[in-house]
Amino acid sequence: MASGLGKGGRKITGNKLTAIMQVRNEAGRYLEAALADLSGFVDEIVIVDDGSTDDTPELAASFGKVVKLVRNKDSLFHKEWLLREQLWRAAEETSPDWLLAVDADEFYEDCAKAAMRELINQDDYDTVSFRMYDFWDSVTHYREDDWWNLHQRPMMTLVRYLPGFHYAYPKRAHHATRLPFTYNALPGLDTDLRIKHYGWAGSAEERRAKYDRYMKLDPQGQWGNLGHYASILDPNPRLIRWQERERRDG
Amino acid sequence: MDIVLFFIRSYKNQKSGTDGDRAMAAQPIVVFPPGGWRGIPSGVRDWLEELAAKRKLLAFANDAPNGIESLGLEQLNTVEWGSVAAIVMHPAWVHIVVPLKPHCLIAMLPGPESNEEELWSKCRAWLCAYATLVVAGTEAFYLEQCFRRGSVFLMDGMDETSDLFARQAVEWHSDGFESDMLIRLQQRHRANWRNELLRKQELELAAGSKPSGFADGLFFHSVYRYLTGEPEYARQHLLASFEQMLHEGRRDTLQNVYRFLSAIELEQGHVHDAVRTYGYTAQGETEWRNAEQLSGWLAAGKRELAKAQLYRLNDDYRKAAALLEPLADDPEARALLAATYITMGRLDSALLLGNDGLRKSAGDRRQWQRLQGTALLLKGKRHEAIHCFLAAGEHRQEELNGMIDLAVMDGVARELTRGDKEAD
Repeated sequence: MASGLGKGGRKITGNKLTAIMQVRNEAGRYLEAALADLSGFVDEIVIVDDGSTDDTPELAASFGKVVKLVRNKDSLFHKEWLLREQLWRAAEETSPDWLLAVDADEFYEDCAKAAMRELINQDDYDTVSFRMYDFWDSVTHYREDDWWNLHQRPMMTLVRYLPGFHYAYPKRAHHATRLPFTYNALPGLDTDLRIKHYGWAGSAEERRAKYDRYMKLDPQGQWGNLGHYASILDPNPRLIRWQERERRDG
Repeated sequence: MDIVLFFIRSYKNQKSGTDGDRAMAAQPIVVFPPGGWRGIPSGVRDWLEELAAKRKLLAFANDAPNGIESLGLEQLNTVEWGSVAAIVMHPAWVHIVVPLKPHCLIAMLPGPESNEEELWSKCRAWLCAYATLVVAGTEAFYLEQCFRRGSVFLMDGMDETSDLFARQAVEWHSDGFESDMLIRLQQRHRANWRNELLRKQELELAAGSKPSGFADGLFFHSVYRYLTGEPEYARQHLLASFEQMLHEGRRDTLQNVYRFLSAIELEQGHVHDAVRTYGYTAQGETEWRNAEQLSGWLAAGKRELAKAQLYRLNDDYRKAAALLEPLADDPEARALLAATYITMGRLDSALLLGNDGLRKSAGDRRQWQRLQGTALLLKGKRHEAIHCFLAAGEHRQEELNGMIDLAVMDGVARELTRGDKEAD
C-alpha cells in the first residue's frame, strides 16, 4: 500500500478539511461568528456570495482561511441547484480532501469539532452525517415537534472529495440538497454529533418575514410542505433546552 | 421488417457467391430439447416446425410431431454428426453433445433461473464455450455471453425484428454461412430499440408518471453502446442510470452500476481513471486487494495486466482474454488467463496453459484434477474422466462432487427426451 493511502486509494492521513458556504446578505447576522468558529477547526473556506448588497463579501474576505471567494453580480437564488453546482466547482478548484457544507447560521458542537480529524483521516467511509438542531426564539432552546424534528434523522454535511467521481445535484429551484446526491451511493457514517442551527433563533418578526418569503417563492408547496411553512407561525412551539456536552456520548 | 428481410436475403445471396465451397445447403438439424418437444417454448417450437418443411429435422424427444424424426438416446451413434447442426436447449446435454462434435453446435438456452444450482451454471458455461453459436433467451444472459465470446444472438420474444436476426443466424450458421454481419445488425437494432423505449419513458417521466424499468433500461442501453464501440454514449447512459437508481433509492448501485464506468473508461483509453473508479467502488477485503493490485501493476508499468484484470472485474472476460493471451509467458498473466478461461468455460484452453499456476496448493491440485476430468468428459473420454474425479476425491469425500455431478447430468439428460415430464 502506498504511503498514506488506504482502501481504494483513499487518503488516511493529513487530509485537508475545506468548509464550503453560500451566502447572501449575511453581514448583520451570524456570518462573522460562523466564520470565526469554522476558522478554529477547518483548514480552508470556500465561499460563493450570491449577489449580496451589504458588506458580506468584505466580511468574508477578512478571514484568513477564506481561500476562495466567488462573487455573483446577479443572484442565482431562483435556480438553487446552479448555485450549489457553482460552489462545488469553486471548491474543486482548491484541491480539497474533505468538504464540510455549512450554512452561515450553523455551528458544530465542541465535541463534533474535536472529532473532525478522526472522522476524515480514515478509509472506511466517504460521508459523515450529523444531527441538525433547529434553535427557536433563542440560542438556548431547540424546537421539537411533528414538523421540526430534523435532528432525529442523520444529515450528511461532511464528504470526502473523490476526484473524477460523478457528482450531480437534483435540478431543484429551491431546497436543493447542499451536497451532490450521488454521495448517497458511497459508504457513510451516521453520528450522533450535533449541529446548532440558529436560522430560527431570531425574533418572531424575523420568522414571520421568512414565512412570508417562503409563501411568496413557493405558494403551492412545490418545493416544500405548506404545513411545514404554516408551522413557522405556531405561537406555542415545543421547545427543549439545549445541553452542552463535553464529549461524544455514543 | 420487410426491409430487414430483403436486406438479409440479398446479403445471403451475395455471400453464397463469395463463400463458395465453405457453404453447404440445408444441413439437417438435430434438436436436444429442454423436456421433450412440448418443453420447447411455443414460439421457438412453431419456428422449428416451419423449418422442418425446408430441411430434415430430428429431435431427441419421445413426442416429436409429424415431419420431425424422433430419436432415442440409444440412437446417438446412428447420426452422421460431422454434417449436422445440433440445437441444444438445456445445459444438462453438454456432456452428451460436445463429444459428438457436430458440424455446428448451437446452444439455444433460456437465462439462468434466480436460484439455479451451481452445476447447471457450470454446464451452461461449458456448453456456451464449446458451442459454435449461442442464442440467448434473456437479455441479461445475452449480454453475459457477449462478454465471453463472439457469435451470440438474442431471441427473447421482446422484439420481432431482433428475433428474426437470431432465427436467420441459426439457419445461416447451420448451412455454413458466417453470421457476423447479423450480430452487428442485431446489436445496433437492439440499441436503437432500447433508445426508442427510453425516449417514450422519458416522456412519461416528464408527464409525472413513473415508468417501470427506466433505470435498468438506461443501464442495458449503456452496455449495448459499450458493445457497439460507442464509449461516450455508454458513459452518458450509465451515469443517467446511476442517478435514476439513486433517485429510486436502489441499493448497491456503486458496485452493480457505477463500477461499469471503469470498463468504459478503459475503452476510452483512460486507464488510470478506470483503476481509480474501481477503487471507489471496492467493498470488502477481496475487492480492496484487487484495487491495491491494480494500482501496484500500474505503478510497476504492467499496464496491460491491469487493464485485463479490470475487464475481468467488469465481467468482460472476452476482452481480458484477448489482452492476456499475448502475455501468457508472464506467470501472473498466465494465472489470470487460466482463471479467465475457466470462468468462460474454456477448459481446454485453461489446461493448455499448463498447471504451474493452478497446482501450488493441495486444493488447487484437486481443482486441477476436476478440471481435467471435466475436459476429458467433454472429449467423450468418460472412463478417463471418472478416473480424474476419483483421484480428486482420494482424500476427501466432498471432492467426489465430480462423480455426483456426472450421475445427475446423466439422469437429467434421460428425462429431457420425455415430453410427458419436464426435467428439474
